[in-house]
Amino acid sequence: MLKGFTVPKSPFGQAALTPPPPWHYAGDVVGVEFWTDPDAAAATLPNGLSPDPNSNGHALMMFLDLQFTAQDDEYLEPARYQYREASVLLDAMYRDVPVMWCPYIYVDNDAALARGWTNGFPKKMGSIFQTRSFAASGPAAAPVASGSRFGASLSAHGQRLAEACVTLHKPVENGLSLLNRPTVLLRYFPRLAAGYQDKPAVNELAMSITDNLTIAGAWIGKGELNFTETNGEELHALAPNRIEAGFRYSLSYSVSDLKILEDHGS
Amino acid sequence: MLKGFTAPRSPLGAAALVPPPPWHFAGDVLAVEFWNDPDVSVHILPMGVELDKKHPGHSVALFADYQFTAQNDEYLDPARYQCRQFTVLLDAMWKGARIAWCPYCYVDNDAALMRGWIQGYPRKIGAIHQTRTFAAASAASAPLVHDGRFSACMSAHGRLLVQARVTLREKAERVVGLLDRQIVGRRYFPRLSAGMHEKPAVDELVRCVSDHPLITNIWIGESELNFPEAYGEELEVLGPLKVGRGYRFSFSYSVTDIEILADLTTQQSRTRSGLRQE
Repeated sequence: MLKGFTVPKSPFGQAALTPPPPWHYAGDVVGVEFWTDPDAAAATLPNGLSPDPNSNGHALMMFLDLQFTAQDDEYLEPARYQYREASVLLDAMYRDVPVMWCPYIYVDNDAALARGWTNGFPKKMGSIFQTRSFAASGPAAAPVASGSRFGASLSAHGQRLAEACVTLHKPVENGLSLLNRPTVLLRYFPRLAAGYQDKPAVNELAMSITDNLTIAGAWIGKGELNFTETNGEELHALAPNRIEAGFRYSLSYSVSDLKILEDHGS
Repeated sequence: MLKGFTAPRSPLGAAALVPPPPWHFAGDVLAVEFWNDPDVSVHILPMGVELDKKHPGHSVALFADYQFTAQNDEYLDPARYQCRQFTVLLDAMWKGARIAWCPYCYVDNDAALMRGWIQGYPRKIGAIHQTRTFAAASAASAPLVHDGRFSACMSAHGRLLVQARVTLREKAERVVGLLDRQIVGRRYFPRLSAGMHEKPAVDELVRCVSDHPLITNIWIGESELNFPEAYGEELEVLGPLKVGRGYRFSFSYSVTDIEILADLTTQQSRTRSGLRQE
């Protein structure tokens, strides 16, 4: 009997791209809160979601530097289980619930890609970087302090897609206020059989369930954000019209479940 | 209405990882024929697939350096649509038919990863390299000649997983005993909802359908092959007890379809209900 939560399924279950849940994450976030063209934002919404009349076009661009573990000390294998991520999240409504929708997301690691697809995050591969903060002071240390600046970037297949810079101004007492809507996603897996290529095997609107979401060391300040027009991507259609703020924090959370909201079948 | 053959589905359909079929491939291959321990490799086979008793443990390690295009000149975007790949194929049988089972496959590109999952290849990301041949003669050009030497390797997450070496001996008209079987894979997509982690949304045995397969510039020679042991992989248990011929050739083919051989989600539920009756 082959084992493994994902492919490749193998005799001992050691070869699978990702171990089974519960999945635990810890990391640092550099992000920018911004407003994009409401029509462009609405155009990315799947069936089942509608624009939020109070905040259509409101968006977050997040750069994450993450460490993962499941049940087997995966965090002691940094080459395989550390990764970086860049995602855009848009305000939307699921029925009368304010949610965030994730139209585009990039990671630099295959295990994260597989977990993302399973969860409904439409992950692609990218090169993602962010300024880190180190304890030993000096011009390169980037302390978490008023006036400190953190840069971040996303590129893929040799093209720069996004650049951000955040200048910290003040700590935020309730960090969770910066991430206060659940994320809605589309689990999507196509068929290849001729005649069925537009009838996906999996097409489910899903709501992400994050356990023990913790935000620590949150700061807000000034944000700068730029999306470059690139071939093979549509991120630039969501380019900022207006920047609201920049932020930086550390976060942790766990995932062991997913709520399927609607099965859009084939 | 969002568009795109795969995620991410987007307003224009330009952001999807993979454009819709037909898919066309062209590239170069370095391959090594080998035999692993059939008592071990039998455990990599899914339900319904059996070892080929006439060729127990006979396998192929295949390095491909290739280019992809669909309908929009994708081959002119080399950063996104060139790919390197390592594949293991194991001789097996499906309902009396000789097949090649694909237990492991690695690529260095996200579009190829997604195409693989859709086709039933269990792809992960690796760093894959092979010696190339260039037209301008020099010590570095690796010509396709008698005694020409080609190497290949695959690593992932900083660990070496495969090393191969082929020394060319003779030109051949056909690749006898290699890639003469239909490749069978497994389309698999899990569920994340609690209680459903072992009940995949998709679990199908599939036969890969290749249109217009062409293999040319074939050279056959001697080979070396080695699968070092590595954390997070089970490739090494399929490692060679004996190595056979090495091959170097160019190939092209197209994909527009796949054949579903069995839906394992329904077979598993039948097995479970059968067990309950006992």
